[in-house]
Amino acid sequence: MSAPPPAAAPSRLRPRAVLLIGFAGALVVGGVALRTPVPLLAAIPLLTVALAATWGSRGGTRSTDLTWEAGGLGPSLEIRGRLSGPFARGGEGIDVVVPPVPGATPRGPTRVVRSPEEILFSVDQTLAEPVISVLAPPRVVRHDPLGLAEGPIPGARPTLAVERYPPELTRLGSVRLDRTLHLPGESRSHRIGTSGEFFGVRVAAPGEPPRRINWRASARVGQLLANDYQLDRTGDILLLLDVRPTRFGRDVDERLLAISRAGLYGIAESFLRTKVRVGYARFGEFLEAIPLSTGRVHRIRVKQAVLESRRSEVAGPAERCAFQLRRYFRPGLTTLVISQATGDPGFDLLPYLSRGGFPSILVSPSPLGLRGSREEGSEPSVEEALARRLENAERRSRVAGSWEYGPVIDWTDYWSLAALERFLRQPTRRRVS
Amino acid sequence: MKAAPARPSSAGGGPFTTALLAATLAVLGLLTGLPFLLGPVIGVVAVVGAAGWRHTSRGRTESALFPVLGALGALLFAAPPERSTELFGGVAALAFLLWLADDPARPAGGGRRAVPLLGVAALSFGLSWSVTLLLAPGVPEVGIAAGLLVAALFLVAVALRWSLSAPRSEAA
Repeated sequence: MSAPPPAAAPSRLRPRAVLLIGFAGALVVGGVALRTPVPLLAAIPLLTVALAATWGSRGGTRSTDLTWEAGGLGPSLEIRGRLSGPFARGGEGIDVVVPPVPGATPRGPTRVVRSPEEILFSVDQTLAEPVISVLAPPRVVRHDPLGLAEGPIPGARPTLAVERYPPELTRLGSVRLDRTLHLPGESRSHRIGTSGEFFGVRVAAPGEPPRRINWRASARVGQLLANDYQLDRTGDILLLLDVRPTRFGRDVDERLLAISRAGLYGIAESFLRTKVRVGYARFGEFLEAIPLSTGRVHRIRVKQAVLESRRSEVAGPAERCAFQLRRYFRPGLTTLVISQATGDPGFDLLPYLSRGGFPSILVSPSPLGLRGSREEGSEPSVEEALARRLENAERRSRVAGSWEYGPVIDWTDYWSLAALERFLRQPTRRRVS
Repeated sequence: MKAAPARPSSAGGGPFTTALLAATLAVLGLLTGLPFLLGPVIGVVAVVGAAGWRHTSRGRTESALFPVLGALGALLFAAPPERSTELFGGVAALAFLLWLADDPARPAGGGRRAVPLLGVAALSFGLSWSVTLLLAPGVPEVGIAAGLLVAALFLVAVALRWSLSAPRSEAA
């Protein structure tokens, strides 16, 4: 038995209708004041049509369900969706309003193809920076032909996750991190593979390599049996996001934090896919942490926490971060910090984390990258070019100063973290860019 | 999933509806009796300007309504109270609504789809004007009252429809 269709939501007058009713009202008032019937008679169809439009925007389709997806590569984002019918009058008068993705520029209007069975819509956008976001469902509204009133059409509408981060991060999970557990074997891997500790025997698959065949067991049983091994855990990793306000101001902080969130989620997802234990912490005024774990539930937990990370109003001292980190995580844990390298000894986390026993790698999203994306296409003047060179030199100097306490990845091109991947594969004590 | 772009309406609204609106405003302007053909000039210039504005505004067409509304209001107040001016005032309002439906920012065919709505508006105006015309001494107030009666009937119908379609609580 199907559920009864939901009741139609009330219609809403659009600004155009308000303008029309206001104009008609002015005609009525003026006609009465000047005692002339001409504007009064002209006001009648204007008022009547506004009422009829409110009525007309309520009939027809009572409910429609939505399926949608995000496609495209890199900065190119293509959102496509389908509304299931049937639709009266071929879906005429039904519009889809897709909410904007933060930081995205639409490459054109929303394209809509209507038919009695379904309505297809698509919108292409260009992302300025990596982003992780959950889009609210699009509004589906029915409107009258004059655009005077609109009424929402209810139905099942899922949200859409938009996750765009540097493509190198998808390969990051294959990096074998150094063992960071104090007691080897304390936490065993659940992965079964072809090397490591012996796990058990199983019936050999066709084409099994001879080295994996357990010949003694095969001889006893009378059929080919192969060995299984429990893979070694490659190490755990802690991802630390710095959400403290900086001297760059709220606007720059928010944009850099959005980029950091996307990058951090990409790193977490890549490692969690290979069953590495990942911990997450964010430091604003105080530290908030999710302990080390792995698995699908942990991935969702980390994603939620990353999405909820907002710029804090008060900046806690860096020393506090290292101190509070020891409550949740054991020293010796590989720590990937996404923070700013400011050169301020009271602000930078790296020295305190290093002293606290956390071997840290700093990924520092550069504010200079934002400047480039904003003024793209315009030729800088001589003074501007000189100012940029000075800013670059000052930035390099600050990043170089941070190398005293740990490796620093200067993240200038937001669509690439190849430097981080290179460093994790082949750690080195020199500048990585 | 492949989605082709929606066919836009013709540039600046349909040429037919633009010409129709310009013509009705020109006639209304002529009937106002303003010197130096000022009435038709106001009407035609406003319509042509608004059509150009709609064409160039790329989707934000609300502001293009102001010149037409301004011209329509000026001509209606300048028109002397006669049968012909009352008729062309209402016809001009209906032509304006038809032009509004042919918005280039909306899917094509708006004018065709708006026929039922405009029919209701035309019916209410026609009723008001014909009552005014058919009364021997010509009492415009009666026609206006008839129009308001039609509007009131609509209000009742809308209220009735809302009350019928409102969600009802489960019977105990």
